Amino acid sequence: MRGKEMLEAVGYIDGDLIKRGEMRNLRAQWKRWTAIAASICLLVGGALIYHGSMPQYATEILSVSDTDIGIRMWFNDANTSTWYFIPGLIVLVITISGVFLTSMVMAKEWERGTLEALFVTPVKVLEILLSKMIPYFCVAMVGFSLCVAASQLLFDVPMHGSFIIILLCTMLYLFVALGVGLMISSITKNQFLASQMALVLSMMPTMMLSGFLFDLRSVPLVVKMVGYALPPTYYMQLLKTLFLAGNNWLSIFKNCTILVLYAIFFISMAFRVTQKRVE
Amino acid sequence: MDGFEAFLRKLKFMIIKELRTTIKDPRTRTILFLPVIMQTLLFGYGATFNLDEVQYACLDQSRSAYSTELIAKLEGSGVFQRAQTLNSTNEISQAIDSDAAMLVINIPPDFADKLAAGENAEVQVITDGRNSSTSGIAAGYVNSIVAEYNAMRNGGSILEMETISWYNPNLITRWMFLPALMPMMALSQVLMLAGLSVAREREQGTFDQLLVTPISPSIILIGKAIPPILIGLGQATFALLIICFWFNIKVMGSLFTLYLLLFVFLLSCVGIGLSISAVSANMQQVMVYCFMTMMPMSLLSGATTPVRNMPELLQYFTLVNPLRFATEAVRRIVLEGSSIGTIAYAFVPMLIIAAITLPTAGWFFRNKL
Repeated sequence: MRGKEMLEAVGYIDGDLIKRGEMRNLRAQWKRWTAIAASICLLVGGALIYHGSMPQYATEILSVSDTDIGIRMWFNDANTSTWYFIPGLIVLVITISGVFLTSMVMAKEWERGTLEALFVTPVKVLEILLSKMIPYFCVAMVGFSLCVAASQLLFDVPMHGSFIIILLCTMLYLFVALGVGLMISSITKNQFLASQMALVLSMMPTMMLSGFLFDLRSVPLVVKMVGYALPPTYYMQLLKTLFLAGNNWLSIFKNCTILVLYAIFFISMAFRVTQKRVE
Repeated sequence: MDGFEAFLRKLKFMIIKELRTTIKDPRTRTILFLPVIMQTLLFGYGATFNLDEVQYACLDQSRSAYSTELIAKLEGSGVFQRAQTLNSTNEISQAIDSDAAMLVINIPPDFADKLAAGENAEVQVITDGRNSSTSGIAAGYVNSIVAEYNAMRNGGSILEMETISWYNPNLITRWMFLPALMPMMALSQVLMLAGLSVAREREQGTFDQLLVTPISPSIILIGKAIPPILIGLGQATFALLIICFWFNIKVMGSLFTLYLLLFVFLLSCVGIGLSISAVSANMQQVMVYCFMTMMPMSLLSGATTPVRNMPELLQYFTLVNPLRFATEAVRRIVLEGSSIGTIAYAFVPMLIIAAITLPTAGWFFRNKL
């Protein structure tokens, strides 16, 4: 409601309305609070994404009396939703390019029979896996550079943390993603199945459960557990802190340790399922 | 009539063959239906913009009756849980940085004096902007509670705004999100199914064998289009059952309208998938192209972020996005109970896309091998 309309409405107030207004105090407090909270949520939700901004109108009308609120949103003062989305989008891009690309490589070779041909050569499993990982690593890093360039040049997202640390964390997470992709690929040995599994295990969970759109703090316990079991969640926290807040060493250390453990787990799993044996 | 009958018979066999190839592997059966159930459940619970619990830290430098009252109102709402009680402004940064609190309330020392003198007193609210949507909502809650506090101190307000949201009175995010999830999940599966089936046949060499049979290319096209649509409709049915019976969201509109809309939507998706596979050389390429198509389609569909908030240019892009129309239409059918007439506008772009992509794919099948 604009100020002008409110003044017009005020002109329609007479003694009767004031008496009725006083009687309204008798109604349960919680109904009013719910209505006001719901209207605030409606305003905030509507103005939320893409040019989201604080509901200035609501603040002006409701604080006609004594206590004002000065709201400071740390790390993202203007509540610019792009600042909040772009680190999440980078996580999404890295996850999907890491998992999707590699998930089909081993399966394709199994189906073609060229992997069996490789087995008769003296090449080791380590060399096979490395040869699959390195090209896609480079491809994903190119994708990452494009994303970061876009975030700086197009969207003006601040980068308060050091770029070297962002780069190193991305490489670490890329190992995790590549490990997952290779693991899926070697287990399924079938391109069609591998692609479906990659889709289900990487794109949807990263979009929904990793803190990209929906905060993990307000979901039920089961969903929260699943969300915290996913590697993208930690990478998301890392990127958001590094981009918006700066070098917070405690957070970096904690998240990187978890990602290192995940990387070791997935890559060793990929090793275990890739064996020089004809099934 | 004999020609038409033969056409239908050949088509029937083609469809049966396609369905058998896809469904015969038990792992494929699992991967086609189990994730649908898991995703609907997980995302139904996970997708919430409603905040039930806000961890906050409180720095009360005033320590007066007024400030204690305000804090009591905050905590009495049941939403704010005190994570830390701070003693000085130096401690604010560690509370937010360490993620212990999402919100810090800083009441200055002169709060009570100003209120007693009849002036406006300011309370500082610091939120964690790394997740701007929930911070905004939490700040909004604080706003409303302070407004309550003001109203209580000033003896009631004259003018009140009572807002009623039609079709979703309690503004439960899940009601808005789950009907949008149905077409999104169906899209991802159908796009990949349609694209990969042709690419797989091309790689295995069986596509050439198909072309030397007396089946006409149009039968091949329709035969490759229908099975993914059927599987997509099956998955959507699964999701719908969970939505209705587990989450108790009543479908206000008619099921016939819903299925008709889903059928046309999946037709356009299959068209896109087949065109993708027509221009790809192998399955990996199809996957990458599918992903390139799926991501913008999902993000610009209005499922999680409103289309009207997007920049003008992107809003024009969404006009060619069938998922955008499907999301809107499914939401209207489920929540509002729209009839076919109301959502008829949504059919037009989807039919146009299907009408363009399906013949293109057919032409490619015939000419580009």
